[in-house]
Amino acid sequence: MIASFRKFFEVFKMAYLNIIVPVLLAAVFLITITSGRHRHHHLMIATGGVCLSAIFLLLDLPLLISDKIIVYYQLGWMPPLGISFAVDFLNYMVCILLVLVAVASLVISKTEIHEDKREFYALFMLLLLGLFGAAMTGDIFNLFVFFEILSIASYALVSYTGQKKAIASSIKYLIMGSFSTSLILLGIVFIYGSLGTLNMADIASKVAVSSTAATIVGFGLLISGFMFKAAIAPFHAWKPSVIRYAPLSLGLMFTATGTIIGLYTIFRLVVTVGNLNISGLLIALSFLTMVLGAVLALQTQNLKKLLAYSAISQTGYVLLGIGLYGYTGAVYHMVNLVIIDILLFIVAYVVIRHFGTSNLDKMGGLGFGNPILFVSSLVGAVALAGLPMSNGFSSKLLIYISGIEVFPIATFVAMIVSVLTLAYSFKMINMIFLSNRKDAGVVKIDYDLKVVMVILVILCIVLGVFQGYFTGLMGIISGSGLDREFYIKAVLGII
Amino acid sequence: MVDIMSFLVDDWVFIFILFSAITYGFYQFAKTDSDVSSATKKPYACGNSINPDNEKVPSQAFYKTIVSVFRMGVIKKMHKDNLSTFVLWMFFGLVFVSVYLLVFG
Repeated sequence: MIASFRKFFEVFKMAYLNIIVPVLLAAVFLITITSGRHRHHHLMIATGGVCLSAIFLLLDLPLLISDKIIVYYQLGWMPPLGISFAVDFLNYMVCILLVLVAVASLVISKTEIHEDKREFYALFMLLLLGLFGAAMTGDIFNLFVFFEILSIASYALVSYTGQKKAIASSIKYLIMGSFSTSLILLGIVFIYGSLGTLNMADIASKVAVSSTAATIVGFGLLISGFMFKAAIAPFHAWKPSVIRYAPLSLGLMFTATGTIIGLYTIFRLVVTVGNLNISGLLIALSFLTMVLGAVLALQTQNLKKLLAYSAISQTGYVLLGIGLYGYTGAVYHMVNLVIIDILLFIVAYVVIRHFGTSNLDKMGGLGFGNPILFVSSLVGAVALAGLPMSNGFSSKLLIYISGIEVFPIATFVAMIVSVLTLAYSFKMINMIFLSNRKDAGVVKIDYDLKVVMVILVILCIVLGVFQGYFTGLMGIISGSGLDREFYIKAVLGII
Repeated sequence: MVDIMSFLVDDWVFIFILFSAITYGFYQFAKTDSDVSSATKKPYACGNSINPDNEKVPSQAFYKTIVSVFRMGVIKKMHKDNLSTFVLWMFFGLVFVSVYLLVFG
């Protein structure tokens, strides 16, 4: 059965990656047309769509390892005229991370989302479709289109609960999001006007010889637009506001996927496509992002906002890694950040459901009666602060080393922010588990959430202890994004 | 086996585990000599025992001094749920990025 399935696709010379988008679209349709009587099927269809995507990703791995890049030309049209999907190790890893986040969000949504599941899951799958498309595309206009798809789904999802504050937050997000997508579109106009192409590889081949002031302005606008998606300061203000009023499953989805896709796009545009020398700009913005995020996380009393600010602060580290040419550390920290985000959001979901509030002042007393929850929080906090034996330490160490080699002040600032991170993460632990001597009882945790938490805790430790092995792997992944010549030749069909 | 040993010896993990074990040893040694009774476990504030209802410390109390000394409250004020402030942040960001790219790009 599997062999015939493989043969079918081999006959049509179709990379499995290319069918992820149609599969997700099919899931959207299936969810939308299913009548209200079959509500329990919606989660199943959504999970099925994500699992199928994961299977297709895994099926493509041998091809990716042998060819180093998979390029699919839509309807056989070659670039620069045709539209292409180009997947190397870098965006393959991004797709894997997206799958992980989506699965974790779906697990949380199982008990969190009670009504109108059809609309929720249809929008969720549209969001995922936009994310996968944006990660795989090799064309900047299609990048814009996929970003629009994911943005529109996000605006609708933020207001999903129907609460007044959620709707107000959604409208604010819509206005700011429209501003950012306008910047992206304007950037595309400038680049197309100056270079006459929209294909990323073609832009990369022309940018060295035909670049003008308009091209640079175009890249500036594009990067600004994608910085909004990644919530890099000063484009960060939307994130806490949105996450505060959205369900936790969506909070996780927006936080983790926004960071992944935003940072990936910046990496691709700055390093692979534009070959821009803007490390000064990236370092300056990373300082602002790290410090602002940490200082605001220290001051907030709301657990959801604390996690949002924390994610902003940690995004700054990845940007710092890119700015310091420490690409391995940047990619490693992006992977770690996703794992830590998922772990802490699950903890937050369980805790908020138990106390019925996200206000830290109204929590406390969970003490040591909830070992899995406490250990998960502790490991999450330790990893976030980058203490030894955790994955956060491994990746931050690589960024610190890059800083010492390139710009030592950066390492000093990053270490100071790590101290602030330690402060706010242990404030969170203290307020939830230790601050009130009254016993707040045993928290009920679903079995599937427990399994996910245990797996993530093990991952945090394994990625921290076996640093040497994973550093090599991350080096290969980041290296595929750095090899411009190979990317250009492979996408343009020269090799 | 040789690989595992060389990994442990070469890597910082070995040193971390070693020092953790030494610290734990000190902890166990100190614990046996100390007099732990229910009276010493009772929380005190300036010599007075605290009512369990008053044991909870509000989250604002944490790092309040740091926040006030470094005037970090100003940053919080700039992050109220106000759309015009949000857009202003974005505008400054756009100007900064554009100027940087035009000057140094």
